Amino acid sequence: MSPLLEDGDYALMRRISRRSTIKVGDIVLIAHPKFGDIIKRIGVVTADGYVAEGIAAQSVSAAEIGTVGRDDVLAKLVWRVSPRGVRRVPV
Amino acid sequence: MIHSILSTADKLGLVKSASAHCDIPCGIYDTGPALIAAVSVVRMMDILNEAQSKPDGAGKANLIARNVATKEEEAEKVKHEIRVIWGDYFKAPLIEQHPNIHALTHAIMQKASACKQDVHREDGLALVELVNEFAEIFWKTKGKDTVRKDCPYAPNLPVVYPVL
Repeated sequence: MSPLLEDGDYALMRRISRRSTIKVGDIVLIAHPKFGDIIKRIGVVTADGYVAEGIAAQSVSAAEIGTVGRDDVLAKLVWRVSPRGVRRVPV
Repeated sequence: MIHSILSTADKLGLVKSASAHCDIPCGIYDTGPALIAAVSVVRMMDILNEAQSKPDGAGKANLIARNVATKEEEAEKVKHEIRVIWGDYFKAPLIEQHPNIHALTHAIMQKASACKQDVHREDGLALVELVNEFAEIFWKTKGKDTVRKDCPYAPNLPVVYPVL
């Protein structure tokens, strides 16, 4: 998720509850069946779930990540803490 | 400051890790190179053991030197290829499905080292068998069936091939 998140950054996240809204552009933690716990951006919201994508050219493609269900979206990024400073997200 | 505090908490195991990127090129993994290298180790052992019956001289010394060096190289290749697949491809969900992958990878590392240290053919055969087991698990994670067939070159050992 470079340049938003770099290796060694800490992501402070808010757990997704039943009342949470997940919208396009949200940076979320996904429990992915193939890739494990990954942080990606919501690209598209469909009736079946969410299409997540990376923001760097070399990211795993949205097609590879596939559509994830709401139960797979665990948390939403709120603060990014890096040696470069602390930043609220979305910025 | 906050990063330092979180870093300390991280070192204490209080922070959960998540990946936010993947390697380039994404998803290109195959056990083929590791198997070819493992079979090559046995081939080198066979050549070295056969060399014992040759008359002493520069030719024999040259033959042994070349094959020992290649055996070393191929055994190291096995270790590298398997480490990359184990370390980069296998992630939490796949490891949960195949919990023996750690022990199997470790066994391959140990056996490949044994192959470097000596020329016991049984070590070479065991290495090929371990890498075959690894390949079967790997292709299973890809949803591909496998078949064991004798490789069409010396030492003609049974090797796992994916049914694509």
